[in-house]
Amino acid sequence: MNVQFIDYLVIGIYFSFVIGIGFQLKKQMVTSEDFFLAGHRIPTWVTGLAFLSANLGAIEVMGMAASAAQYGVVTAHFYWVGAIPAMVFLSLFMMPFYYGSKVRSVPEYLKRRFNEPTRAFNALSFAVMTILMSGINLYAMAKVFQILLHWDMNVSILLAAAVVLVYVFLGGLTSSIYNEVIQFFLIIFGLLPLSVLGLLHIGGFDGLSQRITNMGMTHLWRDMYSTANPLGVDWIGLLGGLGFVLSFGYWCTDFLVIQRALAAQNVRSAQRTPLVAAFPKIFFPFITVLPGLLALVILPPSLELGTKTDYDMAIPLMMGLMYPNGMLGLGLTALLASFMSGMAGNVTAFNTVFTFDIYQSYIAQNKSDKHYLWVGRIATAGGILVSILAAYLVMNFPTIMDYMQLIFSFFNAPLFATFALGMFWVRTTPKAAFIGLVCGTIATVAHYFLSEMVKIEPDLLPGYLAPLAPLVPVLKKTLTYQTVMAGNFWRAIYGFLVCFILTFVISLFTEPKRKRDLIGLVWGLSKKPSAQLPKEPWYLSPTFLGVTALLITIVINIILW
Amino acid sequence: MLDVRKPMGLLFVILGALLFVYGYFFSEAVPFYTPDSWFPLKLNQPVGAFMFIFGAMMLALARFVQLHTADRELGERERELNRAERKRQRAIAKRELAAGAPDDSADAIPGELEDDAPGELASASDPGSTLSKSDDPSSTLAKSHDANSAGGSSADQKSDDITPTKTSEE
Repeated sequence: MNVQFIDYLVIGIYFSFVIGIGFQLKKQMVTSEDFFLAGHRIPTWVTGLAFLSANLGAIEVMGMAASAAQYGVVTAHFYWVGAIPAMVFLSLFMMPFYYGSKVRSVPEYLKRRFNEPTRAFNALSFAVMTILMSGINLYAMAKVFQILLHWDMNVSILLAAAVVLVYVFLGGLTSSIYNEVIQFFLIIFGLLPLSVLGLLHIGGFDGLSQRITNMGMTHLWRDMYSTANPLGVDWIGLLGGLGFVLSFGYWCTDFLVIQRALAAQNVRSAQRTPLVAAFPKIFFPFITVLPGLLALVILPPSLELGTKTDYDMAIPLMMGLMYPNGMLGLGLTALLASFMSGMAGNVTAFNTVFTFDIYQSYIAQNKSDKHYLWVGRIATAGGILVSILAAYLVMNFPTIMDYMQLIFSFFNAPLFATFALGMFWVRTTPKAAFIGLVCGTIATVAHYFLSEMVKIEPDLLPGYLAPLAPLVPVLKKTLTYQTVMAGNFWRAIYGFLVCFILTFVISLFTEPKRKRDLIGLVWGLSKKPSAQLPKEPWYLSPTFLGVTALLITIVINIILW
Repeated sequence: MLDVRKPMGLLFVILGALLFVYGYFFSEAVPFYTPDSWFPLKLNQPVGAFMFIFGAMMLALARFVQLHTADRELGERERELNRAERKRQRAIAKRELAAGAPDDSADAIPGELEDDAPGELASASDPGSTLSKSDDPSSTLAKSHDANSAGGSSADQKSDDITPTKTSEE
């Protein structure tokens, strides 16, 4: 791949704008609310696109294309079975509580709904998760630099981290949100031509279907009756693991995306934020999943797509093949933009949770607002520093997507059970929520540990695992999965069930909070926060928008059955 | 608050122009093969053109929203001043009625007016001179508002003079 001056120029102009926005916004970051919550004054279309872009990091662009090359079009289930229904649910049922209760973070909601230990556990686990996720984006960015520009991996990681540090440090959440919106459009312009050219080259969707001989790779549901499909999971595992637990767990409880909605001007705008994101999200497989499938057909065998590394490199390699100089610079900029938006999203969520839910709660209470503003900035720098270390950890996983779903299954799956009960069942008690959440998380980690252990022959287990050797043959039947992704789905289901059942049972025997303390936090005890706002046209109502998004998704599922 | 459309529009205009110009002058068309035929393709040009148009639209939209917001806020300010003026008139009329001598009761009572209409009208001691056409703030604003609505350079100048309290929109 021959990268020329024009390509570097495009990348340089983009970097200068990104950093310039940070400097422009710096003078407006006066209070901690400005820095962490963008002062609740961001328009809906901006929060909506930022909501989408914060998730549009390495997972969407390189991860989805890699999964498509590995598992086929079923990767689109992450959108049409997973994301869209969860985003609609968040908008209609959960956002009124998040925004209406005026919390600054998801852990803070847990504190008000349950108790301090639940908040602390969630804050700590979330902080770890965001750092790990941030590391993924750094790793992906450095990998692209290394393969396409032949830059040293360490230098690439440091450069990318420095750019994100500057604009988040200066402009906080607002800077992150603004850059996410710009990054969204850059990704469209940089990646859409790849799908269009690829389809033209092979003769459209018909040509694609004809060239991919494995029918399971080109149909969404055709082979989902059993585990004999590329994803290695049947429809129960798919709907339960991905469609319910992992997706709802991520979209409805992950502060990374919720934070964008909390920056909206009022509760109705906050409710519309996920829906503004949902409509473009429905069509995103066209620029993320499709290039992965096209790569299977178009890339010459000499590139050896199918090995561990090349799955993640499907899009960059396609760019190298199809884009001329100039467009190549734009394509690279789109990739960089996606990684930076993903990383910045995680870093802003991390600094907020660290400052409000860890530092202010347990380390230094009753300090001035200016003090917390500075702590937020220092947390930004610290978070990025640890992300750099996490980037090196990611290198040991088969694909980015596998790694990310693993992390989600650890933390988000049990958390969703806690939220589902806490928000919709008034009887859920603080003790039960805490025990359930801790046990659910331990169950997911134990599941991962055991499913990795059964891959090793009992005789070859290391010394410290020798006592568990008799269990290996027994567990091997139930904990062996055809693919890493199938393991992630089932781990999420188990984690959710452990948390849900424990929380439910313990709630029956422990003391619940008084109802008057739960007003505004639990379904059925609160007036609709949007009731105080003036009436709006029916076509802007979250219900109408949500149902429309679901109907479009159903139609697409039927077409690609 | 900075309108994100401005930096975004500027970035896309610059990148679009750069790609288009580079594609036009410095790159050659390459044959792009489809299953049935082939055609010469200069990808930089169409993508550059689309980006430029998109950027220009964003800049135009940002300008439109800025003017619209300034216009709306001027209208709100005008209505606010009119309300204050009506209250002041009512207070004067009330005092005239109470005193029974309309011609001698022109002096306003500052405390009462400050409560009703905070701001520039409270200290008026001579209603006649305060309400003269040239000094009437509402009439001045109304003129500016008309000029602003008409567009052109005066509108631009007016919008720059205003610091919107809330520039975002749905």
